[in-house]
Amino acid sequence: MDPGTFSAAKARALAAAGVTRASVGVQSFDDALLAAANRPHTAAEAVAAVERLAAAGLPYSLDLMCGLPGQDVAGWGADLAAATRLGAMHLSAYALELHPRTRWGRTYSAGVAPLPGEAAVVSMVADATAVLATAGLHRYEVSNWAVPGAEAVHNGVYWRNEPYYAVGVGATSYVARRRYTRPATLAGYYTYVRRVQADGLEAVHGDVLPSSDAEELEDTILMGARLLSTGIPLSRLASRFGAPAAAAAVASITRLGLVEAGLCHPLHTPAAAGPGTAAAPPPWAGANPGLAGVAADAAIRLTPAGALVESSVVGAVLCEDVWEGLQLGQGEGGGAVAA
Amino acid sequence: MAVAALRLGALARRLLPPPPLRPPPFSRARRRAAASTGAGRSPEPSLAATAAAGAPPLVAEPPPAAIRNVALVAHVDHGKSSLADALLRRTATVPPSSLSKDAPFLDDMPLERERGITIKARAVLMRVAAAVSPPPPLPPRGASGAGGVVGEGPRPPLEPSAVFILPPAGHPPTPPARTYHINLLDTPGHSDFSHEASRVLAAVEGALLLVDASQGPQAQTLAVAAMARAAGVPLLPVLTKVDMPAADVPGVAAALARLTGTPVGDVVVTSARTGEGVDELLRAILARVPPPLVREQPVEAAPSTRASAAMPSPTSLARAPPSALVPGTGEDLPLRALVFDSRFDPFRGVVMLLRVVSGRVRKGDRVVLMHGSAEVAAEAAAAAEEGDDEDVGAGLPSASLGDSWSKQAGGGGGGGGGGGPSVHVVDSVGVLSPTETSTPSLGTGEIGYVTAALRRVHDARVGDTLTHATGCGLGPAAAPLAGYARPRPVVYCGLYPSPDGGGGGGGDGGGDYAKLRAALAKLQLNDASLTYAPHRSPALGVGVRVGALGLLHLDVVQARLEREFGLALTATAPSVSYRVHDGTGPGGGPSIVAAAADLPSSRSVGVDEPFVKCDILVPDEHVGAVMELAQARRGELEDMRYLTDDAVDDATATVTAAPGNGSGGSDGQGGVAGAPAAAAAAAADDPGQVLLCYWMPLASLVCDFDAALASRSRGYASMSHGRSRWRRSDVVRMDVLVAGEPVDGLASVAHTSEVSVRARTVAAKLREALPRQLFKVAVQVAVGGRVIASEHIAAMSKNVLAKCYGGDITRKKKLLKKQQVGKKRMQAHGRVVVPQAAYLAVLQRQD
Repeated sequence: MDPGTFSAAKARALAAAGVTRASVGVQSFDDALLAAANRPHTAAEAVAAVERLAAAGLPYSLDLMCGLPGQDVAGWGADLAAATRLGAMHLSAYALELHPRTRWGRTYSAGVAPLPGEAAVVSMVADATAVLATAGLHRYEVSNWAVPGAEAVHNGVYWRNEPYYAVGVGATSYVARRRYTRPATLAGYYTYVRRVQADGLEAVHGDVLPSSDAEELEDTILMGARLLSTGIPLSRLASRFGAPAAAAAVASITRLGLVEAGLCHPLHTPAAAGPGTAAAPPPWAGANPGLAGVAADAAIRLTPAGALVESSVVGAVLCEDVWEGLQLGQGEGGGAVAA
Repeated sequence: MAVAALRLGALARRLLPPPPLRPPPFSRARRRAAASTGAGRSPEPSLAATAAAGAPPLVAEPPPAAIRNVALVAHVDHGKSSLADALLRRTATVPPSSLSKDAPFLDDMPLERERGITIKARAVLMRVAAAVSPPPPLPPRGASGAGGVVGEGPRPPLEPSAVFILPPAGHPPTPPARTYHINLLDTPGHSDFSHEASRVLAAVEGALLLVDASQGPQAQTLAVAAMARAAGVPLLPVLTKVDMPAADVPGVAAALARLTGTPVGDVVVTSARTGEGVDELLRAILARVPPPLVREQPVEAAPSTRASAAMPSPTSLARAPPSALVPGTGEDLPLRALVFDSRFDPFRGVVMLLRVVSGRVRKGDRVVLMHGSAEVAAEAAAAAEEGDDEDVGAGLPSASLGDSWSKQAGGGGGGGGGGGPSVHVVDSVGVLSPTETSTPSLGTGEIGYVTAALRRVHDARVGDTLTHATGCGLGPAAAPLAGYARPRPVVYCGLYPSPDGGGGGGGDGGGDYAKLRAALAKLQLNDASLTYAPHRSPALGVGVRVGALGLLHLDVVQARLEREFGLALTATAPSVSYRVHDGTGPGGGPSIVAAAADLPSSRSVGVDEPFVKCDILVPDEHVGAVMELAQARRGELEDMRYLTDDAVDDATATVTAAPGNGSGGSDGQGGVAGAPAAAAAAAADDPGQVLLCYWMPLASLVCDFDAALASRSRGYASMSHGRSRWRRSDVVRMDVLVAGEPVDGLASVAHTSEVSVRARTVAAKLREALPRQLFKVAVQVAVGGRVIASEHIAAMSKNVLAKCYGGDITRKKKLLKKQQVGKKRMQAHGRVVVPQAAYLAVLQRQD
């Protein structure tokens, strides 16, 4: 919800209707930056909007942006401080990305003034973690911070690559391994809905094929690597795709040296890292030798340094040869037999 | 003299870019006045009116007396193609609508138009109705001696009014007119392609030597003039671009007259832009270029030619002394036609461009192809040299591989040498007027095309002689024409199909490699000097190592493969081979190593480097600069001498150093702009030409020596290189280590004197070219295990999508796809992926 687009009454009505969280597009508490970003609201209006939500008893999350034109590290610090003062339990902080066919994409180039340099943006993200920690928020996703227990439930479904329904313009649903994307315009959307009603889903989405095991696995890693507190637990990977998938993840991370490079959290138990110890496999490993010495709670989990280069890390992992021709399938069966 | 033979090598001529235009030394009025002294020209007929009248029809079976075959030769950018266009327009050969300034008609290769240069020789037949009361045509000159110039000595001045070009736009023709066939053969001006020019010279009776009126004779002017003389082809001097403000018509005409030994009045003054002098040029062609001559008997190549058989010199039709040539119809002699160019047409097979020397070829004739004697001699000479420890050319693996490959591809059937030539039936004959126009036959003196369902590119090679099969016509000729010695490549580079190239993607590039090989086989048909052999690079996959005559030639080969065959290619930097005394060669002898990574890292093994004999001709004021350059490139001075006029006379070698060179040189740069008197004085007061003879490492030549030489000498040095030999050299292998792992494909060879500079350059290039990795990566260059240069690549600092929700997974997947495709192109070395771009930064030619 954007500040200034709802009244106190509307906030109360939403809360009464069972809405459990409102995400407020504050973006910045600096009026000059807001104006530059073509935002119709002011910082004061944003604060007022948050106060209306609080008064209505509707939990809220704040959206902030860093890396805006003209923004500096000090200004960003002030935004973070203002956000903590508002007592948000959840905060999303997105670093600006330029897209080629947008006004800013044509106007600015990344890392070049008036945009802050890359080093400055990197430090803004680090500052977010540091400042928000003082308010009890921890970073659980690449761009999201929350007090424990207040992590986004809805987005978590995306990040764990679980199925979800969707409604509305441009929305994508993911049901029975099929991703359905809806038209991006309202008129197109109405036509679409009428066609689905008249002809049925198959007639409209006949070309959408269910994803294969390999695609599911790839998507699971692609999305899950963004989760910085849980990562992708290897036990879940093993149960969903089989122990070989978990072993492939371990092999990739090991060969790339991502743990030594400080980009991923360790996978192996400390004992296994030592020389000469007979490394015990985790209980979910089946008889897979590639998982020997892997901790039971091991996860593909990026460090803050890894999170900065998340796309490259995930790309490097998934480009490893071990994923080719992997035998995939439900893990429990195979594991149980082996055990 | 050995130098003589070398200097004449077409292969050796290097292009020198023209020096900057100097300010106009003459006022326009003065130039006009000077121009008008050339000859008493009558008012030019309107070109438009002429063009509208159309060209006279083709003459069936034109007698040799009605044929003129002329080549256009000149330094690069001296207006050949534009003048050709003007002639085509004037003779209504081509409708004016298909002629444009930016796209010369004869430079129809897209690459030629884009670069504004002529790459391939081209032929076109123009018809001119004219009445000629002929002055005695110029006798052709012998292949040697200083006398091989047009109009030397007293000769009756040309009577321009003796030739009427028809229709004369208002002038009633007086003498009875006839239609002449003029075959105009355009040639490339760049020295890399001088073999093309030499081939053309073998097919003509005269050459129009074009010189830009603003620039005067240039290095390649001298080279082509020498080439024409060696081929015994008379030169007809022509000034071009006389309408340019900077044109110095009297000065350049005098220089050109001296160069060609022609009276100044016989220099034809033209402007392709205004049409000035075009009619006069046509008259001069008809009056001064002899008609085709027929030799009584096939004659062995002249001794002087034979002596240099290994050189790509124009051996021509072996023009014998004039006494051996008899004008006539030639119909009473067996068919002999010289294939001077050919190309492959997917539907018709090999299309041969040829010059009928004697006899007549008709559609339906049964014909055979004989290998030119010069080529056979050259190959025999090369074979003989195999044992010669000193010669590099014969031992280079590319050369020998290329040959064996040719043999394999040829399948033994195409060659004329071995088990009897195969008989083909002529299925089409015609002239180029201006495009292929079918005729019933081609007779003596004519130039045209023949197809005979030749399906394999090696069935007809440039330089072959087409003759009748036994039982057809007068039967086969007793011996082939001399043909051409094939020029030897001096520069090699690797060409590899790009993994993401045109072939629809996906595959491992194997299909593109097959396409590359097939394309090269076809290109070789059209470009006899090209050699190639398969080569596998650890970085770039399977490709070929191509041998060519120079850097521009390499560039053109790559561009033609890409354009004409739809290939996407990656080219490596030009390189040479080395001889290693490691006892692993044949019979425990030295081995030839083409890839740097195969060179031993140990310094205890002796390595030979190819050195080439280089002759550099330079005006004396630039000698110091040129010597400095040659020595910096490890050249070893063997001889240096001033060329006086006497020296010019006594050394056949120095035909290129004809007086014109000096005047051209001083004209172009002497700073005498403005005062005509000073210009005249400069022309008379010839600065000395110095001949510097060096042994240069071939590796030094293939970098950018041409450009450096041109810049140090302000464009006035010309260079030729000839014999090569192995020489023990202190060269070492430079290894490249990325993150501690050696990368074979990045290894290179350097002389110890250059190694530290080169190592730093390589490391710096890699630092720029290697993408940032997830980690900090060290790039090191080492010699014999010792690191002599290193750089670091910082780890990447940020690459993450800020926001990613359900629908955004497609965005993430796209990014991943990109990475996956990228990886296929890369070589993983340990944890670091070295993309092709990084290899290219080190290996690719830097222009």
